Amino acid sequence: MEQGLDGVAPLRRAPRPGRGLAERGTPVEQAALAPALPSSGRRRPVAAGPARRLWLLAWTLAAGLTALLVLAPVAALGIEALQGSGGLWPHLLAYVLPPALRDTALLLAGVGLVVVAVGTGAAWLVAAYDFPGRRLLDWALLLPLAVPTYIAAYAYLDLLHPVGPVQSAIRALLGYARPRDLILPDLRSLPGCILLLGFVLYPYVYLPTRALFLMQSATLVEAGRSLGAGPAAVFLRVALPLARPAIALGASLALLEALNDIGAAEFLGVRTLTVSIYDTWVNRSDLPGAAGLALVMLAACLGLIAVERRARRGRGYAGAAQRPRRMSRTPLSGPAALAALALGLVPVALGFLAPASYLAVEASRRLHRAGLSGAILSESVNTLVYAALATAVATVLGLVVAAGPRLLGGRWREALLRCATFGYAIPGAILAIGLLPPLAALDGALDGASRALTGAPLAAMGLGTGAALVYAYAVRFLAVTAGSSEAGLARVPRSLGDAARILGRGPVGALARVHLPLTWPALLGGALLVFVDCVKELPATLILRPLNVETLATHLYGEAARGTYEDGAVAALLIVAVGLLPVALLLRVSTPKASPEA
Amino acid sequence: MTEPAPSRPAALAVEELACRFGRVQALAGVSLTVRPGEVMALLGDSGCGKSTLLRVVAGLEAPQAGTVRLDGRLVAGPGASVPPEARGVGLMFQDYALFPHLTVRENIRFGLKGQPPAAREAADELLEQVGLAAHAGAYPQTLSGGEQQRVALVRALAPGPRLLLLDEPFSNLDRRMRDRVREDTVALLRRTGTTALMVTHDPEEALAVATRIALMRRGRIVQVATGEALYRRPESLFAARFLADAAEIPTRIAGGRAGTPLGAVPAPHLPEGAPVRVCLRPEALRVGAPGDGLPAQVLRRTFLGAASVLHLGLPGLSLPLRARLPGPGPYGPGDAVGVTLVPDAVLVLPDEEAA
Repeated sequence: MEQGLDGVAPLRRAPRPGRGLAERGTPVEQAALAPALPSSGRRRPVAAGPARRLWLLAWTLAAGLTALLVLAPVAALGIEALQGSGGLWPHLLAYVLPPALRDTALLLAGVGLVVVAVGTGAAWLVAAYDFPGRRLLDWALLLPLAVPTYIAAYAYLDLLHPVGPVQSAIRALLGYARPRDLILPDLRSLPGCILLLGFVLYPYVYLPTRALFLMQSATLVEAGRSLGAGPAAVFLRVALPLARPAIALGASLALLEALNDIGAAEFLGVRTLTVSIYDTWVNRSDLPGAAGLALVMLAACLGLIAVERRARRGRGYAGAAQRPRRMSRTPLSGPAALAALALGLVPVALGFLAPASYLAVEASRRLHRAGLSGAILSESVNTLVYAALATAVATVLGLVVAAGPRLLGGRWREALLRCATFGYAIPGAILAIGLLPPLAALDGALDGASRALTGAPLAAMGLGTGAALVYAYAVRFLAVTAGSSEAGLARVPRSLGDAARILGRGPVGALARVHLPLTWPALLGGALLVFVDCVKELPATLILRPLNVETLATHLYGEAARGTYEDGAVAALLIVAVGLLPVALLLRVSTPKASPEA
Repeated sequence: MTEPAPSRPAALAVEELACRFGRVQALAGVSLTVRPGEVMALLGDSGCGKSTLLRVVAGLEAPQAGTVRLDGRLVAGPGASVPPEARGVGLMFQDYALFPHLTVRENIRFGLKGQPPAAREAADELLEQVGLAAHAGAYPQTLSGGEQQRVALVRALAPGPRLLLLDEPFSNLDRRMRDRVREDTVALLRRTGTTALMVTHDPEEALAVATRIALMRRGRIVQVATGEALYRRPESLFAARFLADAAEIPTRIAGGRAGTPLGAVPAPHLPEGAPVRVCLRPEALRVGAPGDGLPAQVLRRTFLGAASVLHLGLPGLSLPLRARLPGPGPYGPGDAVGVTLVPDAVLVLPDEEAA
């Protein structure tokens, strides 16, 4: 869910009571001003001479270093791939890449269809209709966000196993005795993987689309109705086109997540690019080959983001509704209400209730039988420590890189910010593979220096201590903290900062007295998201964790890889429980406040 | 237009100021002087550069060329760039920019850091004067637009700025409330003896508030004059049009006069043969009984309450003229009337658009 807040926060700029128009001016004014004046975001704020130079220097250093840290793994991938792996690369090109590309493309297309259909449909259901249970459904539809894809796959594999509860129940119902008498479609297939990922990842579309539907000015819908369009036509011809930017954003996030997934695809036997990369590195020890595949995949990610940017262009009209009066929901009753509720519950049941209750049952059975193992405790501590460290690093760096362009201005600073937040486009497995060469080189250099200086060898620093893991987490999720800082700072009107300056505060005083007090909820929200994402992260953790260190996620992966499913249930349940934390937060953040006009 | 007394330097002196954003030349050589105690209005359309000028004076934008002096002290220009917090100017923002996380009292005291306790009492006193003492503990979002406006004004005045800058201070108020708030604001400025520079796009507002008006167009100052002088003796067609609507009759100077179907108007200051426009505002026409002046016909009458406007058709004129009468007036559509010019109120200005 890393990009959830980043993506959603800008959608929610509900005007403050009594000042919505003051902040924006009328559309006519904006149109009149537009050609003559640059947008206020481009204005160069002015600081004093020497002090200003000092701040600029400090910020540039910090942001430049961050960007360097982010781009280093990508550069390393390029170098590594260029070195070539001798005879292996033609093999990869001929036998690994084509099926991986095909499967990945099919997977993405399928998952894209499912998440858009389910996410948009669910969003319209709760935004346009009122029925008993709607409020419950409103937030319950977000619950699948708490279930990482590999945990959903893990749970469903056992649930739908030929001798699992579901198939046994069906056989009992139909009167078959043995599994081979009734062959049901196997979950371990591409369609199975598409459905599973789709029903777990649809909240990425649901969340921003729902926010957009809720913010949509009622007058637009009413205008559609008055021009003779029925409810269905209003949805297709007015609401859906207006929501296109949100749908594109959500779908791209869901697909990035699908690309990032390693557990589900591997458990379900789909050889996606990510799985191939991991396999090439771990089972063939072919780092250049893995790096080459990773570059292909990075291109796919960037392509996705480019498509989303294109689709989002001109989103101005979607958010420009002046002081939106909320669209009123159509009340449903009787069978229609029941049908709506049932329809809305399907994704919740498939994406959350089924896997979560399975995990709860299995975990309690396990605890009852064997108690809480010491391993789980130490894994929990590992997980929390790494996640907390990475969250602290990402939050501080995110605030620093985001504050620069806002407080100091300048277009190239924006570019640096984009570089520093590039990590969210890099799937964990790629990031980890890219980090290996520089870290190994660093370890070697440090060891060499230590031998030369003290005569004693130095234990591995980067790979050995988990610093690499914190580094990878921070790089990967920096976009979340930077995005939430940026969104938070952007919601502070520029005139407030100017007012603080005019009233005698310097740039730092303005930041401390005005910007931070108004921004900290956003910062906290971003930090929470990062923390949970770190807890859930699997591929980078698998590759970069120090030897013999297990986190909850890697423990679960190990159990699943060995086929000893029920033992991983406790770890999985803990991860899901942590994952529930930001769901509440996201719901609050993405619900536009009603305009409190009395 | 007397020169400022030499003993006191100008409160604000701006010289040859230039400022550009990318390809937009927001300020193209602006010079302006604001005298101590005066309220100067910067009047112009959106995008004419008036807000940029205000921000440059405040120190929120850096000019590419030119100088800004406050009370004779160089604050922007070659070798000087005093940051906004050290300029001692107040700025009231168009959107008020009240800090939403601070109460009214905290907002007002925000600028008093490092000032003696007496300053706080003075600020509370100001709050009392504008009738907001009861709201001191409230958050700005809970106040009405007019109340927020007053808080913003008091906050800007509290640190005792030597120059108060106001950016469209009344534009967020509805019309009914605007007049009252405007009077209160002017009274407060007078009472505190504050020198002020106010940006507005509304000529009526500039006339009502300002001692002098600087009219801006495309990054330049077109004319600086008292409101009355600007209204009655605009130096350009642009200025004349900006201040009031008028019927324009294009013609040429012949024998020191501009000929119109209503008679020739003396224009001794314009060269022979120059293309001009004769501008007839409603007050430039006197309407009487038929036979009193040129014959005309009433086409339409618009009743405005205290006055009514007659739309008059004249032979030889394609466009109707407008004349203002007190009250409902005796004439209605279709009536024949006689029209004469009021020579003092007729404007003859060079035609900027004629080649």
